[in-house]
Amino acid sequence: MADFGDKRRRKVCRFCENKIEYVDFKDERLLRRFTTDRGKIVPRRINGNCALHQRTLTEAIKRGRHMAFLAFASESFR
Amino acid sequence: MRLYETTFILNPQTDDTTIDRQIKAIIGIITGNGGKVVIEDRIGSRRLSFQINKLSQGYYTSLVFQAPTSVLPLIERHYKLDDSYMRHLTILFTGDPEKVKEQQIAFASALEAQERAEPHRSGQFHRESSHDRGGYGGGGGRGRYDRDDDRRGPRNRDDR
Repeated sequence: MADFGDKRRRKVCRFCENKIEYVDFKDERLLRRFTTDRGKIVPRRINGNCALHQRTLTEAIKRGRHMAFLAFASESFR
Repeated sequence: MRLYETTFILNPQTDDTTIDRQIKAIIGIITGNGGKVVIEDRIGSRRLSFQINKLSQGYYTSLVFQAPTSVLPLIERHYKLDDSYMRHLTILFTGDPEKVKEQQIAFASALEAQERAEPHRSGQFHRESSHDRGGYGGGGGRGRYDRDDDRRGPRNRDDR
């Protein structure tokens, strides 16, 4: 493999790093970090989450949308 | 008995005593049927991400409680009968009620510290595909995997 230096280092799940097992759907600021500015859920290959945490996170984001903490689709796009 | 969390949004335009009464009503259903409220969190009035019933504000309340399963349909029924509950959600609570808050705060600050140290790993993803115009699928095609391209002739007659 070519040497990508620091640029291609392995991503580590940030929930695992911080030993978080419960993701609260009311924690809007946290969920925002894992959605795009359009409101889409960021895929695992980009945010580096492990499968388990991506699943819990996805569930939390969807619950958050239902309770109007997050938008389903962002209208304002610049 | 299991732990549940029920969150609901009330119409903030009603007066404080009504809001209080509606919260107490839910608590009453829980405690009146052998349950126990563990956390009562009145988040209060906040902006909704989108309008619900033409309102852009909502009064949020979240209750973590321990109760027998039979309580859940009673709560659900109560929500449905009263129009001032704009949204509601009852879920199984899987976290540790005593630790959740501090864990959240710790995680938030850890993330912030990380992002300051390593900006390239930032959680903000501003770049989205330039082809993304917010629709629901479609687009693309005409590739190798585009079936029935030359197998079935024109897709519909209006094409030609």
